[in-house]
Amino acid sequence: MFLLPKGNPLAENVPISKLQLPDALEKLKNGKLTGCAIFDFPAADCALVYDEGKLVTAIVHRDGNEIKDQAALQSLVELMLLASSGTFSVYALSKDITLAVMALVGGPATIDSQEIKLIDFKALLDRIKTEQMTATLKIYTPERAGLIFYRNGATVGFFHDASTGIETSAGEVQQIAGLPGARVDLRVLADTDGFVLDLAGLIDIRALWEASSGNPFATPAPTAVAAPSEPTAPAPAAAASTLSADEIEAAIFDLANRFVGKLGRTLAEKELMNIGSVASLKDPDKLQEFLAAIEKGSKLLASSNKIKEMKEAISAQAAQL
Amino acid sequence: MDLTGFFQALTSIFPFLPKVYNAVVIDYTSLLLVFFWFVAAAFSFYFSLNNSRIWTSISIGFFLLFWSQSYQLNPWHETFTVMIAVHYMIGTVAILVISHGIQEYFVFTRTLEITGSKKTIYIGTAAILAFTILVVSLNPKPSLYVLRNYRMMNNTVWFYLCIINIYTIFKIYKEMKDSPIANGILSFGVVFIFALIWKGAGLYLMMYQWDKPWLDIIEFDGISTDIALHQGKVDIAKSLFKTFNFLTSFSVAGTFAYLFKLLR
Repeated sequence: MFLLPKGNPLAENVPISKLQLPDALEKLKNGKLTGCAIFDFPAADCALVYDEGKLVTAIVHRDGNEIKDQAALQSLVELMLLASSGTFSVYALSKDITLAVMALVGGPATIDSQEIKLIDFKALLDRIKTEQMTATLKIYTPERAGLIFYRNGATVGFFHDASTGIETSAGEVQQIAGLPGARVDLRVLADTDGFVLDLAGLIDIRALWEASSGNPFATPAPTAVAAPSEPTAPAPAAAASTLSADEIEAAIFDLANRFVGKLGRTLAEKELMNIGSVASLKDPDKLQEFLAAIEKGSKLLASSNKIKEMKEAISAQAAQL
Repeated sequence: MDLTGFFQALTSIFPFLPKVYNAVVIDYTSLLLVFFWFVAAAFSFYFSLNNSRIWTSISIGFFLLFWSQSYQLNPWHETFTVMIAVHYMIGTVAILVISHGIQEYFVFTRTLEITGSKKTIYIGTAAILAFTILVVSLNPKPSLYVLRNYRMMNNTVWFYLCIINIYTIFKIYKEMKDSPIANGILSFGVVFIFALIWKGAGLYLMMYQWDKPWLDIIEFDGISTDIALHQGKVDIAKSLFKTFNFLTSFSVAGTFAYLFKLLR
């Protein structure tokens, strides 16, 4: 079971069809995300782990295989272009949890699929503590899975398949450990001496994306294919509410683009990510914070009159939330 | 414009100023050039008041340029050689600070982050200038040779930073070409192309020792010059220097006026 923790959701279950991968990754980079982006395809899963906007680890689970880092990014581009459906979510995580997730996704398996009954579990926990490991302990059965995150030997959080966020108590994960046939994986973060490579700098996603999109043998652009199917999506009430927020978000980005240009759009995306999500704009304080942040950057791009008009138009859009 | 009477009156009010014996005549072109630098300094100062911190570096740079250019209008500027050296350094620091502002602008277009504070820029520039003054004052009184070296350093720093600025401005323009002030930024690129030719021509003349300061130095030293053999090249370089000096100051004032219109 491919399980990653959900932190503060910045985007959740966004249809892949609505996503332009290079733009989305650029947005995560500019927003200095610390956390992870999860792509859920019918036949594969992908996770990208970010540390302050740096893409530090990428993994794709496909047909029982694990593909990592640069190869994972290439695989993600293919999946994005070929998959007919799928969702995309972004979760902000604390630095401590992010490091543990880096261990989970990219770290070597110190203990691999060991049955809990056959090992000295208490000694293992002591070892994590004494060796001051930054690691993730995954406890799982075929049906359930739980994660325990460690930073320098100290427990920093828990997560399991029924969690909606990082938990502070081990209760549910302990229960999973008590299930018959429960197994354990320990993934430890390799010592990098603080040097972390930005994978986004090693591979030109935009060029790869454009090259793959232009392939005459590739399936048609996902946006075009998926758009007509949107009205028939299940759970109409929930979908309508999400779509409405999405539409407002898109309208705000378009306004920033119209008044300030392409950089204005990116600025709006970044600042919106900084305050959480478009839903946060319901709060007048958050709205003011968002407008002030956009204004600060826009002063280098447009006239004060245009900025004023843009702020008014954005406020009007936000009022519809 | 004959300002002899004005400066003589000034010496009578401030007796510590050296007496003015020769006629002080300032040509209108020089006055106009300084006026253009003043316009640039005033507009950029206005931007730094009302706009983002990134303009602060550019504003201080243009103010220092205006300062170093206007200093040359005063009739005593050749009396105090230490001050001449200091003002060449101020002109050099000016382009460093402007370039810093342009680099920050570029970083902003890539990251959309604005960091630092105006205070840091003010204090940093003041500290660099203080250090420069200290270095000049701790050393022997600059001879004509040394002053020429200061000037050559100024031209060299300008020349290379102009190249970097043109490249950076082009990159900034590419990032923001659909933004309302993109053409204003592109105009800055034109300013630096003019400045590159202006300072490049000056540097060329100095490197081959065909510049006026060198000819003044050797006038009484009996050192020979090959200037007569290359008069064509010298004339072209001199006319480029003069023309692009004017075009740089004119275009910088025009660019700031244009940016003012775009940013209002």
